[in-house]
Amino acid sequence: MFSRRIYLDGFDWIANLLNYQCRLTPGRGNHFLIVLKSKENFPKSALHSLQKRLEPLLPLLNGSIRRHLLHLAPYWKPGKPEALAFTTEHLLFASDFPMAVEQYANRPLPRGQALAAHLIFHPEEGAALLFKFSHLLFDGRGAELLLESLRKGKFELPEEAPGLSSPMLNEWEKQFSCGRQIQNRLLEIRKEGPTAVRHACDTAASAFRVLSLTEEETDNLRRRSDRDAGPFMLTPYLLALTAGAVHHLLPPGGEKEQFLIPMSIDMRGQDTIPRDAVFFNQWSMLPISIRRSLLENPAASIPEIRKQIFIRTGERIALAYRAATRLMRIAPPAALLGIVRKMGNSTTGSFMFSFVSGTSLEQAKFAGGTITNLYHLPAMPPMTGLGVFFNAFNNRLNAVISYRSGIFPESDIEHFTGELERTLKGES
Amino acid sequence: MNKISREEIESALKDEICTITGKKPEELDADRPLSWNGINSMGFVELLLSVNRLWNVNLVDAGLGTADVSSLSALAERIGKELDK
Repeated sequence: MFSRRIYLDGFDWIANLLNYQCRLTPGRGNHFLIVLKSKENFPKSALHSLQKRLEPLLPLLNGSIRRHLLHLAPYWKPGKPEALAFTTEHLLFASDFPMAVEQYANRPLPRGQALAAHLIFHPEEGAALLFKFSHLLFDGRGAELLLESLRKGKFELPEEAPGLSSPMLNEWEKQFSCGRQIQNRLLEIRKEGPTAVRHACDTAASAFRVLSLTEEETDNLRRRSDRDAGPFMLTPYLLALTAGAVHHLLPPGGEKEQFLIPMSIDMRGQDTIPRDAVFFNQWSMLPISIRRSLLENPAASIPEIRKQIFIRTGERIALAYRAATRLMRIAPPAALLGIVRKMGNSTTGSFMFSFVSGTSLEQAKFAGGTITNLYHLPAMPPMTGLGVFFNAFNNRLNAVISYRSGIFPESDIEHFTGELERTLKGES
Repeated sequence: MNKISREEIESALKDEICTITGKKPEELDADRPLSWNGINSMGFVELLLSVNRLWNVNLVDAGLGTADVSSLSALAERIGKELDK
């Protein structure tokens, strides 16, 4: 398929670790969905053509992780060109929609494939096309880029193989120096106080709540963000509102208790990562820590969050994470998980957060349907069992609350969802 | 210190935006909003860090308003004013 090996990077190994962590959950892996909603159903012929367009990609999608026999660096081995699983479901009641989506999110990917699709249809509610991606081969932006190229036509495999071209068993000084930078930051966070965290049971299912603001509500939110946080500061603004709601969700902690939020960011265009990279994990983290006492009034935490985003971006900590995690590839996922458990809460964080301000889908037409909304449903690993993910589509903001069932009583999640919704709409 | 013209600031800002967004200089329009020129939330953080590096101007705490980022030239104007202080 390709003339050279496809070596995995540090964040692909983190994805492998999270995949291992999710092995006992109903989904048996670390997957995420992209949901495309349409008022009308997607024509069968368009869906068939979509499947045909994926054919050149099948060996890559059916691949698996291997280790080099001599130097043990992990690489992706393409598999057989087996067809993808594409299933459909007709609902009797419109109210079953969220449950049907959640059930699909908890279904394992068939035969270790990295992509599957599912169509849900109800005559009044419309249709939802669900793409399930394995995090071993895709991150959120890469998955959108794949959908965009499928929308345009047949997927053309790049001449140059994706992933790392070499095992990167060099630049040790850089990797260790970045490792020290991360270690020092984690030690600083630990000194600042204990980190609030809630871990789910290893076998818990994924659960989701989706909040979709209208265009008007989104405009109002942006205006409030410009006023309270400054222009282009929607990320710290949303993080402050989210942290404020999570603060009320968790039981009160000690005076020094804090939240550690590993904010995920897309790294395409930075360092040597191509801007159009479709495959593998091209993301990194900006760790933000906030003292819980500051969250009694979330607006008061905005300057602190904004300051930390600038400091961490300026010290290139996201790039440091990418270099440092290359060192982890030698350890098997089971051993890594043991280390993470031993190191404690400052490695897993309190909750995941991300805000994607745009979409890679250039048009709202996809597979013969008009897409009215698009959002991601990332399954949270049992450690950390809670995440809040924002994305914008068609001038509307979506907030997805992803959690492992049982981590909080459902009534608490209900309350948390309501509080976040009211805050986003400026009603509280 | 030599006074830097608004044109020089604008040109340097364009270079930085090209680095951040991957766009070509001819794809940028100084009279259009920064978002039209491909700048998003994290890109803006990178841009303000560049402003600090190039001219030692800290716009993060300077109380930027929406008018200051309504276009690339408006941002250049604001940086110029900070430098004139």
